Amino acid sequence: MVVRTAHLTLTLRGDSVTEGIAIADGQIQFSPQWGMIRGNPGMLASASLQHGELDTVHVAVTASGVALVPCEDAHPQKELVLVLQYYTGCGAKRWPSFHVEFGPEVKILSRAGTSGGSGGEDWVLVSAPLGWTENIAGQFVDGRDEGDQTIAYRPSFDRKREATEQELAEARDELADFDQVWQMAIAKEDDYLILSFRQSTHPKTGDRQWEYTTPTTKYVVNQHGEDQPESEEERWACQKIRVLVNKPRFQLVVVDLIYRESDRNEISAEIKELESRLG
Amino acid sequence: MKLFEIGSPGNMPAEVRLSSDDGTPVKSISVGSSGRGRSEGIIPIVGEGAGLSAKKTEKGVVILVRGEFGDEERCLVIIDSVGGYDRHRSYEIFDASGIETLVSGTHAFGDAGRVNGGEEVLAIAKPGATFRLNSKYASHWYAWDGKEWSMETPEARKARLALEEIEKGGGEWL
Repeated sequence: MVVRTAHLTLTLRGDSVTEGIAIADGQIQFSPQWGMIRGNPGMLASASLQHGELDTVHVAVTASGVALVPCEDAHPQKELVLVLQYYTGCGAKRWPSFHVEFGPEVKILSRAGTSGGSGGEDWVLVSAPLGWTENIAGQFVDGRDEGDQTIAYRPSFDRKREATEQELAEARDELADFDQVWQMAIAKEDDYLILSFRQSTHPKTGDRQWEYTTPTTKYVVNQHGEDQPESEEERWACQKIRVLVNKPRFQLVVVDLIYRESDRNEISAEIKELESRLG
Repeated sequence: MKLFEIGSPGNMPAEVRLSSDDGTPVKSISVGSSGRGRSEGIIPIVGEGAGLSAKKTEKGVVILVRGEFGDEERCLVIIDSVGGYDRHRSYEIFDASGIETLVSGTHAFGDAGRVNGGEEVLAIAKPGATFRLNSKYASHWYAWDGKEWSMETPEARKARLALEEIEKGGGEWL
């Protein structure tokens, strides 16, 4: 009895996974976005379907190549993945290339590639275990200056856990930054200060503004800054950014708000919550 | 027999007219070219009539004979296997079956004729004949079915053969 394993078809390009594999003229057509086809790119697979999209298929390896037969009702036990590997060309060279290190968990069935032009693509059709495609896609970072990436399958890779670990590292960095800024503000180093503000009116425009006044200096909160006070009780670590009036007996100084005193508790609570999530 | 010509790899075979525009019958055809590193074969065409057949004389010279012959599933074909200049590209008639070469000549590149060229032949194609030619970048398969020529890329051929194989119960299922 011939055993046939139903394969769920997926197309993988960088961090993008799309369901299905497109068929035209009874074949998976090689249509790269980078590079050019001058010669014969190679046959990826033929299909009993002339045009359309394959969903679940049975896969046969013949002497002439791979043949795909749709089997819509079958329950997929593996993935048939069209991996669109690429390296970018003219105009996009700061964007990362995408390649996969195929391990023993996959069976490479066929491949097709470009043969010239700017950039290039190498498409590989593989039979892989369920979840393989999402695992690879989850590891790829498609960002400018991220560098070329060759991704290997990591069964232990957990996208959510890695994201949480990243968040935790950022929160810890922020807490360290808070402590450093607060200490500098206490010591009044590098134009850092600790102030609390009250609402007042701009003497010329009549606009509402937050200010802190001493007998010789008025500190005004930068209206275009990211943060604005919400109450008069709050204490802020702030930094002088501009001296508008500088007379022997009076200074008018614009400040940016850096951290609210209560921010430390919020960051600490976030760290505890993330730590408990990671277990 | 009809006479076809594949002027260059990748071209569809075209039927050759054996008379000029003013109706003057063509007296010979040639394959290959003359010069250093090259060879040329000249095939005389004799007789009168709409049909064409090939004949080898007692001295071993191949001639084409005009006349009235019955329908024939075979055809005559001039195959030029040489594509565009490329120092490393191999030009010949690959994987031929059902092809009987009658006369051959060679083409070459450059005055010295030392750079890789290839052959041009006059051949008889039997029904079911197939062969492959390289152009500068790509390859194409040619097939004669007894009535007409067809061409396909290696990818299309493999796709067709793979489906035919599984229809016959072949192939290894994953």
